[in-house]
Amino acid sequence: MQVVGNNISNAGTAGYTRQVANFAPGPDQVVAGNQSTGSGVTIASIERQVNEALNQNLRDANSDQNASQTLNSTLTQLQTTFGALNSNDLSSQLSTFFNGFSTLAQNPTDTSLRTQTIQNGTTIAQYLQGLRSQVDGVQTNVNSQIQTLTQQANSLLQQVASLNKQIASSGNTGVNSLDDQRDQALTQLSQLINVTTVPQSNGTVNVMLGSIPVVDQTVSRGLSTKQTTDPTGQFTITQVTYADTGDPTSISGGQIGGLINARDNYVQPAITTIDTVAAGLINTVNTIHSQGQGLTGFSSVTGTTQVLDTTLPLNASTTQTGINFPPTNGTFYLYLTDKVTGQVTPQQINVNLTGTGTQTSLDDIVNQINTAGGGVVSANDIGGYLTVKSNNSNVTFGFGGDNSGALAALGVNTFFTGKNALDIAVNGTLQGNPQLLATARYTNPAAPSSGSVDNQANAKTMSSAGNAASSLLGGQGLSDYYTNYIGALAIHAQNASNDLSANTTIQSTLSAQQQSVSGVSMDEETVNMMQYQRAFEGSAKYISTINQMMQDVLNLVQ
Amino acid sequence: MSGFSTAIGRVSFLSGSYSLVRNLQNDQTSLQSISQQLSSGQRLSQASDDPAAAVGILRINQQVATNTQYKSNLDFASGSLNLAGSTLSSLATLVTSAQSASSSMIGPSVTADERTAEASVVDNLISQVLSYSNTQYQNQSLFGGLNTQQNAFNGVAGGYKYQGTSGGQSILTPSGGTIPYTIDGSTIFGGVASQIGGGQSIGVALTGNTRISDLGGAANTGVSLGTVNVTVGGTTVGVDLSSAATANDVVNLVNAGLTSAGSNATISIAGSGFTVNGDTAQSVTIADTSQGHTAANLGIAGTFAASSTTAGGNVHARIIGTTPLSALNGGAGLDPSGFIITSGTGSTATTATITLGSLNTVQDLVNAINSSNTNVTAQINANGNGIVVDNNLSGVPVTIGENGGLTATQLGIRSLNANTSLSDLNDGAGITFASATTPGAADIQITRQDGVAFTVNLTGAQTIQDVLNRINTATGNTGATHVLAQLNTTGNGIELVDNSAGAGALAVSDINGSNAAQQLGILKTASAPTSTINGDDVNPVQPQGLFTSLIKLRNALLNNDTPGITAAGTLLQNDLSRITQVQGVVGAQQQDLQNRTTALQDDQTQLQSSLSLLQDTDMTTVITQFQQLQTAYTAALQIGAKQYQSNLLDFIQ
Repeated sequence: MQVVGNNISNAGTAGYTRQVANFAPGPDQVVAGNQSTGSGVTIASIERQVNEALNQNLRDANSDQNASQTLNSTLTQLQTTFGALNSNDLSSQLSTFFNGFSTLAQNPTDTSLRTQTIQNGTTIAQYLQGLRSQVDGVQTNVNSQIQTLTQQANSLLQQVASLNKQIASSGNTGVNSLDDQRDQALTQLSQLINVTTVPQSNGTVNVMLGSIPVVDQTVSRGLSTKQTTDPTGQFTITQVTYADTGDPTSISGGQIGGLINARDNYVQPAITTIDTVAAGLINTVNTIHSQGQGLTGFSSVTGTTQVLDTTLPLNASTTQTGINFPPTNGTFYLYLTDKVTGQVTPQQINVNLTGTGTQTSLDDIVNQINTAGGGVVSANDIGGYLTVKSNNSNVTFGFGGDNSGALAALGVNTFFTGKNALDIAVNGTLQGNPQLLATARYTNPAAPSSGSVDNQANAKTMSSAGNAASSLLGGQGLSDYYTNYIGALAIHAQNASNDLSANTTIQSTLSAQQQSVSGVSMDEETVNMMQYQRAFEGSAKYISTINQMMQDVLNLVQ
Repeated sequence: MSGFSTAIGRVSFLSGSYSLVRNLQNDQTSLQSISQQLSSGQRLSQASDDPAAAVGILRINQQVATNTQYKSNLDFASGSLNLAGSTLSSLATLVTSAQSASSSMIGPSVTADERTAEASVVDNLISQVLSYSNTQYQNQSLFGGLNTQQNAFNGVAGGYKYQGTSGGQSILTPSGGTIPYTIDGSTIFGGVASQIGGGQSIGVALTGNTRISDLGGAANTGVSLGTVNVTVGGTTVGVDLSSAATANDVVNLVNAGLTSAGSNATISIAGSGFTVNGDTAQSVTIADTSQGHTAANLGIAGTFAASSTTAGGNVHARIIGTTPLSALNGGAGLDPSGFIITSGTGSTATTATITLGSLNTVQDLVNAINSSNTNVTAQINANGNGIVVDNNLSGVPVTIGENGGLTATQLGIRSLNANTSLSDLNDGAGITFASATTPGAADIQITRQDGVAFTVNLTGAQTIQDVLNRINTATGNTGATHVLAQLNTTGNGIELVDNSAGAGALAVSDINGSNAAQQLGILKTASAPTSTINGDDVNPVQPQGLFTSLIKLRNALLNNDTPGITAAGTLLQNDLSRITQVQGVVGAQQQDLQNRTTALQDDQTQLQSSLSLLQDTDMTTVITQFQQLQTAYTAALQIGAKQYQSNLLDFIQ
């Protein structure tokens, strides 16, 4: 009756395993001569109703379901961050930015349109920075969740180890509630990481993470986290390690596994995508902008790229030169404009990066400009920045005809500065003087004159740059690249959502099965109770009958 | 929403409640999704709800944004064309009134004073034309061609100078095509007299800095860079030239390839192309790969024997701003003595002498011409093989002559030259020969200092060279005392040099009713002590068009020159036809824009409806689903409420 009472009172307790009292006949006793009879009933054992295989399946399902749920929620966050269906997502921002140049092409001298176009540039730069920082935030959040959940998992592992110890020390008897507690801890653990259990003969269980034991009987190796960089060296990540050795773990399930999967396979690619779009935007826009002419020429300009070693070829590795978009072999023109006569003199600057002959460094560019400038326009690269200035107030200068990409690489006559979404910004030179926004091109870049200018040419070229194929974007245009990414992300998110649904169903089914084996049924317990009650009533009646008989015998004596 | 299997043996207290909670949650999730669709009107709350549709929505939105911008551009272009159309109409009316002014001033009853008075009316018309020509659309010069930042025409030096460019503004279509929407001023008003002297192809030597993109190649069809194969003694090395930007790059890359193939052969730059300097010991083959034409284009394909030097083909370098003057004329350079530009005539003429001594590049030369205050514009011609000097100043003629050398001739910019057609002389009036009235009659008589005279028959002469030949070979003009006819070495015109001696003066006169001597600019008498007649340049160049016609009309009225008034009337008729023609073009462009706008609007409507299909909630379906779900949810709630109301315990007494 006590077992039934215990079962009924724990009917609603999560993790409680139904117990069954197994009865056995009592030992025989001699009643007469060599005749004997049973001595009644004894309780042979009180057993927990468990199916270990089912429990393991359920824990696996728990891991899967929690992993899917975490992945799904992270992908939902990512989708919300990109907001692809909103009217102000990146795609709309790109359209606004490039269409702005189309409007500017209608009236390139309009200062308010120029300012607006530059403002559009600031807007998209800030948008990309914001987007990057939001997705960075998702990654930071994921990392800190991994850290918190690892602490939880660690304490659960210790709990399992300590329960193992108690169970072993009590000789594995009378430990049903400890077993329940341990199962409960394992279930919670399975929600965090993928675990398998290996029962030992002394009643303890070993907990395995993959094929590596993390709890060996009474000892937990423990889980810990450390900050490290990912294999690309681009991101700081929180890595889950074994606390005792510091070796990295490979967790594939549970909330932690889900978070690691989401971070490595979806959040980081999202950041990379944003950076790639930003890099593509910077390079495409700058390459076009550097070919064009503003409403006024430069009297002085300083490139925005700091070249680390001004003696190295411009296409040496980025780590050596600090140049993010290295130029190729080619040439560009430096144009000197006499403001009094309006005459323009082109000077060809060679960027030899063929691999043979003297390879052009920033110092070589400076020397060529100094020679070409004939003292009127001079250059230096103090601090690694290319500075070109006019020494005659009647002479301004400009650039164009660049098939090397050197101007865009050095940040001269460019629209954007920066290398990716972290640091993209509009060139301060333009913000300071919107007249320098290069909307025009000489009709013949090789033979310019102040009259032979197509005032809208560069702005028009820029307006269609959003669709221009870029090698940085795998040969796609900016809009296509972004749209394809959103499509892929949506499909992953849809799959994750479907997986979650499937895994939840599996988990629910297994949970129902587990309840079927181990759960308390009120009706069943009531039937048991009635059964025991009847047995008790029978016994009582027997005792009262014996008592009556004894009474009757005693009455005979009187 | 997915259910889960309940086919289990035992139902426990908790499994029932788990199942209930799960089903209620499913119902609630679905209800939330549906109510979100209903309240927002959007079928998708995020892209993963339907990835294909989401991508479709993104693309359509991009297209809509592109189209919206395109529409704005079309509207802008339309506004520009409308203004151009109305300006042209006003202009046509103005020209008609100028025509009637000219015709009303022809009759014998019109007095000189009346004509002088009418001249001021024409002056007024000219200033109206100037203001029409400088019409602005949204602060941009409507008729400036590509250059919209300054007035299309500017009144300077007694004439009207076109400051714009040829070509016009255009908008881009979403597919990358262009739709022009402005007409340049020179087409309408006639602002440019092109190519003084007819121009000439000038051979250019190759330089190390010459860009490959500025090469015409051996076949003058351009150079496409790829890999060339260098074979030395059975060893073939592929040399990738695709990264080469300049002629020096080609030299460096090919020489590196030759070295790596084990040869000491080299290529170098010489003359108008590359030269192959053969190996000292063995023959070398430079050839194209099966698909390429690089070596052939560069003129270096072939097998080159040991110790040979082979000049490759002319690679047709184009003239660009940075081309050194020394590379012109096939590398021989230009005569440095220069040329003389004269703008206008008589006392108001502006003369500029351009010498080449201090000039280094073609751009220096072009800039020197352009800043000479003679209102001519020099530029490199479209083929990149010569210099074009245009007179952009309507109403003021320009001549270009030599400065004692041959520079103008070398450049092909001498206004009166050996090839000049006689019919072009005197502003297109040509030459009146004596043979027109008296068949076979001679045209001019030349009297030498020694008193000997001879006649020259110019009938049938087509060019200035023909005239020179006729004079030099005229009957009676032989021997040591002959008169030599040639083009001036300084300035321009025909020069006659008398080799005889005597007390007389060299003189030229028209005979037999011919006007040839006068029309050739040699109706002169040499004044002692010179024995030379320097003729005038009778081929001054000025733009033909509305400004010139009106200026001519005004001058004819002021000069009481009736034939001049009639001629100007004819010119005005030409101007009117041209304006009418341009009106037709503008009308067609307006129609084109209208059609495109209509098509665009249809396109937008179509896109919006596709967009709506993809992103808007299908209300009927969703409301039905909502009702079904609500029923299911209510049922689940009711079951849940009753499920645990009773169990066996309730029935134990």
